[in-house]
Amino acid sequence: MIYTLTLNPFVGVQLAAVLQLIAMIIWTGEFHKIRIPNKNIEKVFTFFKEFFYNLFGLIGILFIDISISWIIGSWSYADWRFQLPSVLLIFILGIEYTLYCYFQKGSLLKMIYAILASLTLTLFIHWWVPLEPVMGPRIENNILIILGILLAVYAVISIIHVIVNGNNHRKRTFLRDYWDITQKLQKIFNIKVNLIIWILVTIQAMLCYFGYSLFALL
Amino acid sequence: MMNIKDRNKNVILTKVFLIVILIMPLTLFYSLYLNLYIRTPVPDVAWVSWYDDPQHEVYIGWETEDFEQCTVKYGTSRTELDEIETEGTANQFHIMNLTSLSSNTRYYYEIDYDGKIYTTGEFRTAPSIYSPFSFGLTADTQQKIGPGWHSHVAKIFDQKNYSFIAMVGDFVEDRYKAEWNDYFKRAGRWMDTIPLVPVQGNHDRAKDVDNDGEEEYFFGQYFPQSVDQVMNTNIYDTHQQFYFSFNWSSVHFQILYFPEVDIDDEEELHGINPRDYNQSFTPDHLAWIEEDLANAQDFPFRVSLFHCPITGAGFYGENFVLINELLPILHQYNVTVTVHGHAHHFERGILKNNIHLGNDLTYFVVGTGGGLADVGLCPVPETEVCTAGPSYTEAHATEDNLEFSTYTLSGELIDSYVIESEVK
Repeated sequence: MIYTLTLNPFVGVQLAAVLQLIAMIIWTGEFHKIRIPNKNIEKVFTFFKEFFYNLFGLIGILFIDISISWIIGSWSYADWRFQLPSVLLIFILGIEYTLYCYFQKGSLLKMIYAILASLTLTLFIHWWVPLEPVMGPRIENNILIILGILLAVYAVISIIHVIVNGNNHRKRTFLRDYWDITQKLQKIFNIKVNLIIWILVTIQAMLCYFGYSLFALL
Repeated sequence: MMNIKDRNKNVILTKVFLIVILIMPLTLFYSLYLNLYIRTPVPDVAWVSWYDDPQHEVYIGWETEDFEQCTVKYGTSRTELDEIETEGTANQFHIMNLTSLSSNTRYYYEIDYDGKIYTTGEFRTAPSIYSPFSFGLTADTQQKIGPGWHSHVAKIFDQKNYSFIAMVGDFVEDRYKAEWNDYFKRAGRWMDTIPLVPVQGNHDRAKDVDNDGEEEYFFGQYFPQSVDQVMNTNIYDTHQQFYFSFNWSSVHFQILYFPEVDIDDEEELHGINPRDYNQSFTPDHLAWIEEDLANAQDFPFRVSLFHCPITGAGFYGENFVLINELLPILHQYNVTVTVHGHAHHFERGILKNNIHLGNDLTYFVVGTGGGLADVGLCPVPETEVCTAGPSYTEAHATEDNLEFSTYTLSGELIDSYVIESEVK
């Protein structure tokens, strides 16, 4: 047991079911492949796309945090049969979302952002919220503000990226892509893998409401 | 040959079809399953509970869709229900007191109206001497988002041989009639063989659910055993404070009225919600607690059940009002254990007794009865163990020991704790 606030994997898997559904809809509809002929409109589209990706990225960080907190002992090990499937699923999705969002191409600015966002969320959950004896209102009143600020900061980064993408010679150290693992990521987290995760996470999210889980059914 | 336009049209239609397939499972689940319970009609279920003397007197409660005049037949043999009691008037909410019962005896009953059997059941009265017994503990079956795992817990309870099950508050979420119907339908699995000890939670209080200007108080209609005699001690004292006590073998049980003591009300002094405070901390309630505990000092164990935890790992944290104003009383009279709901997780912890050194109070939070689990947990220094998965707690009492065990719904032991009696 660790003496800090940790979020419940049950909540994580509910969120994961919704996010993975959105991801599957995007993939099935191939909305991510849409090409906009007008360059100005394309910039706006890219900006919103990046903004949206970042939401997945931030929640991915939350998923990893929940999983690690559970594994290192915030929760009773006796309820592994109920919680472990949720923990494993949100851990895998957390890795996928953060990799796709922040580490697909090695931009220093994005990586610095990812580290700062992780620190902010970690401090918020594990330090700032527990300072208040009644934690509920502190989370309810501030979680959206924190996420909003983080999304807004990312939006600025996305704008810089969009502008610079059209002016390659202006790329500097912080904006340069140091690597590109897009193909590797697409190979590992391909549509089949994501379809399987979507099926599992949807079933797990539903079973949880009845007090069952994928492992409890085995 | 299909032209490009037709092919594109087919591709788009296929994509739309696949997207609809993708969307359907979750949306159907959230929109249908999580809302079906609000259409539950009154189930054919009866429950047994008691006032202050479960050795000799219990009541049977039940509800009918229409006003009915019912008859209760009961006896010590399933085939010979030779005692017959008939209601004087037709009612929808029925309470039949069965008096002059023999202690430690199994009784069978049958409820009839219009020549039909409404339901049947059985119960055992309390023993007159110290003898081992078990009881179940659960709380917060409320239908926050759907009925949760209440049915799963009820199914497990149905297999048990408990003397009773204490439901430590928050039977329902929004207090609509259909929610109560749903509670009784699901809990009805075990109610025909195991009596119910009710504790009132903040979500069970009176509320004007149909916006007709009058509050509905279903809890009070189902469970009439409160001993609150004094009303209007302050403007919030609505005479719906639910508290009573009883003895069962070696344990004195106290059901108290602390459904919620909000300490984060930003507009109020020290954040204390005046309604919560003034309803619970009435002079008559506090005087009764002290008097009742003073009379129970010879018992090996004293167990107080009330909904709002004194402290805990849930989002309500340490409640300084209960710590300052109630805990000293509980410590003064050597309360062995307190049991709570409100926070939707399981927790066991120790509250050090600085008045009688060594007689520490063990608290349990058993709010995992089916309502949506806590979003997160942050253990307080008093926490010994906590977890927010589905679970249930049972206790086994003897003259010398009081053992609490908490299990997951798959049967794994989460926690076991033995308290030895101070009375030797």
